[in-house]
Amino acid sequence: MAKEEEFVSGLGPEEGKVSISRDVIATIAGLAATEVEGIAPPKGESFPRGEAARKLVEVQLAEGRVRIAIKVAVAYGHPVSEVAQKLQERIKEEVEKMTALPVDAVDVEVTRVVFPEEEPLEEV
Amino acid sequence: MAEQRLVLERPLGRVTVHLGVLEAIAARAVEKVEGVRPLRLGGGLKNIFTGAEEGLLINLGDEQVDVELRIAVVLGYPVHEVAQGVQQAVREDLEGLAGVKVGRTDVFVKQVIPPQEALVLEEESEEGGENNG
Repeated sequence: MAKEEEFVSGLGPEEGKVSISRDVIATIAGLAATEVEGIAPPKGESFPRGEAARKLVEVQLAEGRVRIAIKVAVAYGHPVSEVAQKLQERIKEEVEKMTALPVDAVDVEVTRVVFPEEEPLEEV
Repeated sequence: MAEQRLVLERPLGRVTVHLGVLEAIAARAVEKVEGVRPLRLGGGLKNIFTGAEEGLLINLGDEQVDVELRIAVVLGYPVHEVAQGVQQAVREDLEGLAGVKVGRTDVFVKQVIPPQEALVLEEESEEGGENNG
C-alpha cells in the first residue's frame, strides 16, 4: 500500500503548512452521510471512521482539488437519486467547510436498499 | 459477469445505482399488489426476485430501464387487472423511488394459483416478518 498521503491546505511556506490526511476526509464524508435522511451504511450499523473508511470512501486529489467516491445503501421508501444528490451536496459542503479544500465531485454508488424490517436504521 | 449498474450523471458527480437496488424496489412493488403470488412454492417474491431468478428482469438502458416480470395470479382475481396493477406499481415505484425512467413493463402471467395455496404462502410470508406497508 502507498504511504500515507496528505493533502496540503491553506497557508504559505512561511506560516507553516497544514496537512490533512486522506482518512480525515474519508471520515468527514462518512459522518456527513449519516446526517442525510434515507442514507444508510452499505453494511453494518455505522459508517466506519479512520482507516476503515477507506473501503467505502475513496478520496482522490488532483492539482489541489478533491474528488470523492462513496458507497452507500438507501433506506426503502426514499427516492434513490434524490437522496444521492442530497448526499453529494452535504459531503461537498462538509468537506469544504472543514478542510478548506475544494471538492470537484462526489460520486455516489448505491449498492443496495435497506428494508425497514431488515435492520433498524439510525435516526438522526 | 460484472453486476450491471445504472449511471446517472449529476452536477456534483456521478450517481451509480446497482441493479440489485432496482430489483429490490421492483420486487417490493409487486408484493404490494393484491392477487399476485410468487411463481414457485416456498420463498417470497423478494427471494425469487432478488435472487435474480426468472421472476424479474431489468434491462438497463441509457437513463432508462425496461422491465420483464413473470408472475402467478391467484384464482378469482381478474388476471388482466392484476397484471395491469403490477405494471403500474412497478413503474410508479421505479420512477418515484429509484428516480429512473421506465420504458416498457412487460408482464407475463405464467400461472394461476388456487386460493388455498395462496393462503398457505401468505401465512409463511407473514411469519417471515412481512410488513403491511
